Amino acid sequence: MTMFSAAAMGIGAVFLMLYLKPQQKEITVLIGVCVTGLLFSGTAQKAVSACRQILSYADGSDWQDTLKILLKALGIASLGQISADICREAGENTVGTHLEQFAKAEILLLSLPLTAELIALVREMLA
Amino acid sequence: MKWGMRIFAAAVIAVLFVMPIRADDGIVSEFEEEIEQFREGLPEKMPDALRDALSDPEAATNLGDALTFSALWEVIAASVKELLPSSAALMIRLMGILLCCGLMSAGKNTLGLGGTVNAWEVCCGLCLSLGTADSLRGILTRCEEYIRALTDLVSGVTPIACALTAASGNLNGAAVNRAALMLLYTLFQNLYSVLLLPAIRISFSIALVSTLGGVLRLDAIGRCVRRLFTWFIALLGVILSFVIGVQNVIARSADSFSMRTVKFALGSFIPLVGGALSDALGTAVSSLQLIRSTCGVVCAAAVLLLALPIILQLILQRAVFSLCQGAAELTGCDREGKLFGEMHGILGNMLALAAIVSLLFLFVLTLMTTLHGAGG
Repeated sequence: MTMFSAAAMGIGAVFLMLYLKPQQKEITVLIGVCVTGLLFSGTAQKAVSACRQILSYADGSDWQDTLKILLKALGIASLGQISADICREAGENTVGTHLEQFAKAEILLLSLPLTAELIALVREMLA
Repeated sequence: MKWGMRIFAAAVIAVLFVMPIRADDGIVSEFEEEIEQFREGLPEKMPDALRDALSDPEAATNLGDALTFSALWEVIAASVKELLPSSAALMIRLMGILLCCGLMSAGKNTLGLGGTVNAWEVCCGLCLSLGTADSLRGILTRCEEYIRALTDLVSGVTPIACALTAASGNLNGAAVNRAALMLLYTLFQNLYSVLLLPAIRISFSIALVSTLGGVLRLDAIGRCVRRLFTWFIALLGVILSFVIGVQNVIARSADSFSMRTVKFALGSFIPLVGGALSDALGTAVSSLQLIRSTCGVVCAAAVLLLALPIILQLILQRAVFSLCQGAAELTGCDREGKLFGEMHGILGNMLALAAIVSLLFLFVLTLMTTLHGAGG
């Protein structure tokens, strides 16, 4: 997906939603979700190739694992944020908030080994 | 019989006059074991000419050729070449994480990303903390090893210095010298192991924990510990310089007095050969001073070569953290910038510690080499 097609898809969807909004509000929500999903998949495709390239720079170095954790956390944060925003757009604030909380918990769980490592390091320093 | 004894005594005296007096050779072989131990404790990068000077009096006279600017520059260049790749790797690693963090915080502000990005920033902070902690732990270990090597060198050089001073006939000087060296040695050991290195470890731990954020503002405590550390190091420098100065003055006056006493005793109580022995004593003392000053120069070079890698590494790491701090401020990562600032400060403290330990050791060497033998 190129930037031109993404922009055309986004603007077309907005016009369609504006046209349909007075008669069929439910359909506009569906169109919004579909377009967001498509745009996100395009973004994810680009992000994955960018991440692969970044990981290839760190290939063989000792900070590749750290970078993997960071990129994974970045993916979770982006997905959680976009999903929560879609839910809020659809008027489901509670679901959006809980999705955000879930993403935060997932990231914190992911960074738990790092926290444990840091605590171990501090303990070693103070021993 | 009486005449026979007189003739025999005259013959012995005549033989004594003819015999060459070479106090240096005897003394060097006498302390060969100590000197060998001392040589083993010298750093690996020590130029061979300096090592040889300890056992070869002829090599000692060419010390000036061994300690040229180009020789030192070669050692510095080799150390920088060795240290630069690891510092560059650390900088690339930290800059990479920082760039990701900066991009996300820019996205957070411009695209209105909220909640989840905060969690990601915590993850990012953890990664940065671990990255800096790894390198700082390594350098802290190296700093400890350096201080240990210096104290080992002090413990190795003390017996040689005191034995040489005693052998040169000034027992007062040897006693004062030994007392001063042992006092400083014990003081160093206690200070660095009980107070200074734990203070660095505490401020390092506080800096790491404070990056996790939260309600507790631990960075203020870290700053306080570091301020106390700096104040204490300055006080230590002033007190020890004073103590060394006083010891030096006492030792000098004791030596002059003992020299005069020994010369008077030799000249008055041993007729005929007394004057010759008194002069020979001067030659022996000169030889001893040559060995002692050689030992001093080699020790000073050893301190320099031991201190050089650690000081260069500290300077390079400080430069890396300083650059990262600038980059963090540039990308709007204030919390990460604070972490780098703290690490920069801790490295500054370590640099001060390494420098003051080296300086104090050089003071001890100065005390050893300027404390004149019986030559007053």
